[in-house]
Amino acid sequence: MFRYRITAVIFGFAISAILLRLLYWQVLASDNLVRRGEKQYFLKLEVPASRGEIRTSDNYPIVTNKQAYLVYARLPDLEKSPKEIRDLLTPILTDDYLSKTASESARLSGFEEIENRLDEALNAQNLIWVALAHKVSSETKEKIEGLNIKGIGFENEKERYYPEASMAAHVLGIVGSNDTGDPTGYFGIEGYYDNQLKGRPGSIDQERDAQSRPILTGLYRPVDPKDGRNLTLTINRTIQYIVEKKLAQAVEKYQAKSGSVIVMDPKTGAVLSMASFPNYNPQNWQEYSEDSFKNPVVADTYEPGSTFKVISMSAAINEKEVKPSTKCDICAGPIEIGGFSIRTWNNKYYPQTTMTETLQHSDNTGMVFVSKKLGLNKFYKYIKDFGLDSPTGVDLQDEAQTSLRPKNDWKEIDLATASFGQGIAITGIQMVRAVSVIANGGNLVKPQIVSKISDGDKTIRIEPEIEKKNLISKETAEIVTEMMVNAVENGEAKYFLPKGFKVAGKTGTAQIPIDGHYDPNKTIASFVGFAPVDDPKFVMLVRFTEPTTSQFGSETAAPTFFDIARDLFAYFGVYPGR
Amino acid sequence: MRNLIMQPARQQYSSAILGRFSARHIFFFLAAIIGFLLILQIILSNILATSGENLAKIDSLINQTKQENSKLKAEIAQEGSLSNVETKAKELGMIEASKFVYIDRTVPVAQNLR
Repeated sequence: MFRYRITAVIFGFAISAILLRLLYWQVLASDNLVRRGEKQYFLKLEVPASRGEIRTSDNYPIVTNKQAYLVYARLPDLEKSPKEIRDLLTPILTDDYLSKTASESARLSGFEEIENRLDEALNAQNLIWVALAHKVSSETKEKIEGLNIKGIGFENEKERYYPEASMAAHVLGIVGSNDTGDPTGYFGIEGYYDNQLKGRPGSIDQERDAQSRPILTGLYRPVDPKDGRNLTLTINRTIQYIVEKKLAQAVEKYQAKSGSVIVMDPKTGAVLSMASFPNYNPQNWQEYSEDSFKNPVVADTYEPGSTFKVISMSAAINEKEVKPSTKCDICAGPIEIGGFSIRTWNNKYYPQTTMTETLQHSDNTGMVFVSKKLGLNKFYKYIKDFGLDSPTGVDLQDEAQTSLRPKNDWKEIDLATASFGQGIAITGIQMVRAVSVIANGGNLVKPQIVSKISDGDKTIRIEPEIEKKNLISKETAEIVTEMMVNAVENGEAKYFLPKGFKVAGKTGTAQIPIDGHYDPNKTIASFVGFAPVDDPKFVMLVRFTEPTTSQFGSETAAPTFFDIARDLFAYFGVYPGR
Repeated sequence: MRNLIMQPARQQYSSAILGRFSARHIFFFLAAIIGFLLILQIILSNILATSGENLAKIDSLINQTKQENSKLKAEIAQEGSLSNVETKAKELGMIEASKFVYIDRTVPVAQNLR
């Protein structure tokens, strides 16, 4: 009986142990074991999502994707020596690299760099799989396949492709890799809309036989990739082409350090063109320094100089502090404020000058008169209303976070100099938006670059946004427009105005502040304007940094503005007399 | 009681069927069915085995077509680029207009200026 009981207890323990073990396998460790099993007979493939295209307003794919390949080596399968493989692949991969680059330095160092990289990869220790080259072309793949090197294989990759090369590079941005190696957009549209463009990769789990062929009756679990959304820009390809061509010529002609142009529809805020030189080719962005990628139009602040006078004048006229015919009674000579002497740009003075003439002569003393009439409170309010105290919210990643000094910090001299655009820093896009208020009759629009986001058959339209209505009255806008037309027709830039056209504009020449004082030899020359004045199709800002053939906006930016405007008139079908 | 009445009738029916087929017939009949099923299984396995390979080929063809499509799309975009259009236009002898002439809409085109 005792032995019987002992045996029963032992059996009881044994059965309990088996049951517990079964419970562990079947319930607790079940998921893990299923996964481990699946790994042995399931082949998991990641299906990359295709990054969305970026199209110009004419639906042309200015950024698309091109089929490319990753070249890899499975080191245990290699039958040739690493040196032999390196010698075979280096010339082919160098040709592939050189076909994509224009940089002379890259051409010289290309062969050596690729040779070293292959050497390093093919002699790697403790690795089975190594990548040899990314994003090679179909032609290069065929050449390598022709060599029949055992252990060398290919994987599909998508490469960003720019059919218009460097066109609108600063607007578009670049696609690099993030910390985990996934393609990620940086700067411009690629950066701002990265989440929309990148999509979501899919995967395929499929049962495979010993030869890794799919089993028809086996399990097949596909998760479709979700391709990125396509974006349609407000950028007009024809205008962008005209602008870039003329700007490149002008930067060279005036030997400027850099130049930029923005063309915007003043009624909707749609940016029609945005260009800066020097620029870069997004296809080979690795060859440029990081500073090249920032879009100067939105990322760089500058002192607008005399172009700002139209904003100060609009405020004073809207507040009925002055009229176009109001005469300045302090403009007979330099004005002393807080120990500083305010002069005109050419040291010529016009006693009893009118406000219209103040803009025409770009008279700093006349603007001091305006600022005194307006006072700090109203001036400060209008700067804020014109959107110059905060970013415009344009859909580009690199917009500068501008802000105004607190009103309490402003002294009399600050108000006086700010009235003619010195001592105040803004971005190009802010200036264009502020002048759009005058062009469109008083509304502050939000600049925008993307007009549509498409996801398969579904399209989301991004409607123009008016942030503030009737910021200035329609009458004020018309009066200032006429004053700007007069400034163009009778001012320093009158010789460049295309015959028969009415353009409202203002030149600007601002000195560059360096270490607390203004450099006497370095300027930012600009011209801002819009046309045709009765129904503006565009507002445009042309800006050069440190032009050397002439320091003045009237001799550099203004001729470039009118050169571009002449082509825009033809494009928009605007004829003389308007 | 009802079961006792029904039983003789069933037995009678079964005996009638069995009476017509001998045990040998039944054995051959079952063997034929088993043989048929075995052959069918071999044929189906064979078809399925080659289908896997065909499926791999179709996969590869789909992939190839997608790649070709992507390549063609890029080529079309390249051909339609404005820099390319400008180059082609210059090759055809076209030049950039240096001056625009506007016709006044208020004056008839055929006006006699003498």
